[in-house]
Amino acid sequence: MIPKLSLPTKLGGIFNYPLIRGFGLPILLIGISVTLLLVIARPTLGKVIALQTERATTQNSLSTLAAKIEQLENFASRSEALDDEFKRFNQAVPSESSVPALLTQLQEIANLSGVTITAMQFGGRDIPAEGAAGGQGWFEVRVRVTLESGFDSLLKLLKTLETASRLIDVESLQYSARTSQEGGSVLGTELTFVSYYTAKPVLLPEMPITFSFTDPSFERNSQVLQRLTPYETSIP
Amino acid sequence: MAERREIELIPRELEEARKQEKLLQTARLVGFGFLGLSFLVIFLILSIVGAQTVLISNLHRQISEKEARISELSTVEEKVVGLADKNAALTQIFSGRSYFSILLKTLETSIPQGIAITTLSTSQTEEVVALSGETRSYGDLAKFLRNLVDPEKGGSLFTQVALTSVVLEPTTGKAKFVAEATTVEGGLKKGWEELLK
Repeated sequence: MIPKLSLPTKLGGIFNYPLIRGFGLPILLIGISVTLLLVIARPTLGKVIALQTERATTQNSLSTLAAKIEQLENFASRSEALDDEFKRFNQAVPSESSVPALLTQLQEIANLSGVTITAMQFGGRDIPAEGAAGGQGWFEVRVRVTLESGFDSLLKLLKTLETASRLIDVESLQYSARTSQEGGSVLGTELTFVSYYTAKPVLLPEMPITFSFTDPSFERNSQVLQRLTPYETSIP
Repeated sequence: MAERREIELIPRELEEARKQEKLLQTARLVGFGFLGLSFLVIFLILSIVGAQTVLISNLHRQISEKEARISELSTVEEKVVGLADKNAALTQIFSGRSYFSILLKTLETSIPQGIAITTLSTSQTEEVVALSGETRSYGDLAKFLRNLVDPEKGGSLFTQVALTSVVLEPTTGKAKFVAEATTVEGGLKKGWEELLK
């Protein structure tokens, strides 16, 4: 036997009101609709906006990547020119401090200029963080050199260094003259040289390529570098 | 004349009940309509969310493909980015480079016979070149100081020269002097035109 279920008398009484009996259902339906809209539609609408923003951002990233691939493929098709230019620029400002090569090059240039290096001291270098450019965009390595020469040889040394393909600048120059045993004048010179290098770049997929072979500064720098003399150094 | 009266065939209560029924039907229709509309709106919004999610997922897949391609081209990218970094560095280095051969060459053209420069000291950051030397003639010393600021000789580099001290050494008969020559701003630098010669 199924027990007969009935609302409590008071609640049942409410449903006996003609207004509730008649308009109860429409009002309930509207209530449910409003509740559904508030509980489901409203928060989801916020998600739609967030998704639209994410889509736009993702689309932008995709466009950036597509443009980058196009640029890289263009560079890859000119790999020979790229290699040549990179070699030239890397000779001027290498990707590592390459201290032994620098010292060897200095010794070679000194020999060519007719000066005698009596002491050469590595004066330290900036230690770059992984892939980070220095405050100026490059890092420095210093070498202190003491040498003996005549005035002309010292001048030749400076001129040769100024036209050497690896950039070596003079930071300070001091000399004092003394009379040699043969009666001539000998300059005892102390020079502080500074050379430069860049850190190895960190490659991020979304980092755009801003470089171009037609960039006026690149064309100009490349032309200047072509006028410099490379000193191939072999480190045993 | 007899008054004609309309006979109400439908009882008032019945008419009221019909009106009430019609109103109720409309209300139910509005209620169900509203509910249906809500379902439709929710369905539409969820469809948009679904479509957007699929679209974004598709875009992410495409991004992964592009990143893989960029990774394949990493050797080229390393050279391109490296070249850009080096180019930026070179532009600044060339602009700030001091050519000390200019100093020695200018000095050489300014030193007359009878003057020996015994010490010289300067640096990239200083505008003053400290010089010391010796001579047997004050006339030569005066000529040297004049030459240093003569536009035809040292004047292209030095703006002024100051004699700090002169000491005559009676034993050797030589006058030892100390002087400071101030260089013109950027005097040791070379312009792009000169570098491209």
